[in-house]
Amino acid sequence: MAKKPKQDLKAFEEYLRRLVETSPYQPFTTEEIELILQSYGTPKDLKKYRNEKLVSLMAEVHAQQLAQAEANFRNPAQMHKLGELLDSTLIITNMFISQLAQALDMTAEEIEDYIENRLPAKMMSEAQLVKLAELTGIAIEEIRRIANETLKRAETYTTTKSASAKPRPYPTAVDYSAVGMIRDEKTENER
Amino acid sequence: MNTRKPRLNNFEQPDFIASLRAGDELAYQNLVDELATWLAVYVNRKFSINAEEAKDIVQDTVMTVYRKIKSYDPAKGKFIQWVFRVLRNQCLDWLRKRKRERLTFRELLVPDLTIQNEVKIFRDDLSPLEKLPREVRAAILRLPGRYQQFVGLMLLEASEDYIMGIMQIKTYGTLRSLKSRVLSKLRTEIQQSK
Repeated sequence: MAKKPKQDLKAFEEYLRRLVETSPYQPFTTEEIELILQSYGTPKDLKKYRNEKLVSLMAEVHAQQLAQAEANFRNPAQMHKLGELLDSTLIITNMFISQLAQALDMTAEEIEDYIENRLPAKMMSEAQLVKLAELTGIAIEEIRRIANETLKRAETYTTTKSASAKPRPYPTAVDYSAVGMIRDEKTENER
Repeated sequence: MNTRKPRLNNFEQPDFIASLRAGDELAYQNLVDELATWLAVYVNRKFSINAEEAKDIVQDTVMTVYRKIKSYDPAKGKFIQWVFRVLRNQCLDWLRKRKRERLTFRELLVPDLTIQNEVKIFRDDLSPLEKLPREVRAAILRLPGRYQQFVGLMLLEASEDYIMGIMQIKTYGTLRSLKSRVLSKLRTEIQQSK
C-alpha cells in the first residue's frame, strides 16, 4: 500500500535531517549568496537606499586612520604597543594581514592578538623585530623599546588581574532598610 | 518581473578590495549602493525587522566591515562570506539588545536559557544549509526566501513557538500547513533537478 502524503513528508524531513548530520560543511559560494539575497526580494528602487552620509563617514574614518598611522610613523616615540605599530603598518603598506604575517614569519592570529590588545602565546622574536624594522623603516632600537613596553604592560596587567582581593577597612554594605520604609510610607500615603 | 541580481562577483576582485582599503570613495559608493541595499532588504524580510532598523543594522555592518577591512584575510574565505558573517553578528547584537529591553526585572534574576537558545538559532540559521550536499542546497536556494528561512529553522530544530515568533505566524495550523507546502515544494525541486 502506498504511504499517505503526510507520512511521506515526515520521511522526507527525516532524510533532510540525516543529510545535515552526515554531510561535510561547505561554506556558501558567492553565487549562492547572490541567490539567497535575491530570493528575499529586489530593492524596488536602488537609488532610494543610496546613502551619501555612510560613504562620507567611511571616508572620514579612513582619513582618521591614515592620519594616525602617518603620525605614528613620523614619530614612533608616541607608540607604546606592538599592536599600534602593526596596525599602522597594515594601513600604510596596504597589505593584507596574511601578507604581513608571511613577511614577518608570524601567523595572522598572532598579529590580530597584538592589534586587539591580547598577548599572543609567543612574543615576537628578535629576528621578527628586525624584519619589522626593515619593513617599516623605523629604527630597531625604537621597535625594541615598543616591544619591551608591550611586554611590561602585559605583565602589569596580569599581576593586577591576579592580585587577591584584600578585606577593605571600610564598610561596603549599605543598609537599605530605611529606603524600604520610606517607600512603604509613600505607598501608604498614596493609598 | 524585476530580474535584477546583486553583482557580488565585483566585490571579489583584488582591485576592489585594494581600492576599498586605500580609501577610494568610488569603491565605498559601490559597496554601499550595490550591497547595502540588498542586505537591508534581506534583514528586513528575513528577520521581520522594520525597514528603518534594518537600514541601521546594515549601516553598522558596512562600518564594521570598513573598520576591520585590514583584518580581512582572503586566504580564509571570500569577501562576501566575511561580510555575511559580520552581518549575522550585527543582527545577533540587535537581537540581544531587543531581548534585554523586553526583559522584566524578575526575568533578569533567572538565567534565561531560552534567550541563549534563541540567540544561537538566530546566529546559525543558515549554517545547516551549508552542511547539505550542493544539489539539495541548490534546490533550497530556488525556493522563496520565506521557505528557505523555514527550512533553516526546521533543520536547527527550533521550537514551533520560536519559528512562529520569528516568522510572524499566528496559529499552529498555519505553521503546519506552511511546513507541508515547504517540504512538498522542496521535494519537487530536488526531483526535478535529478
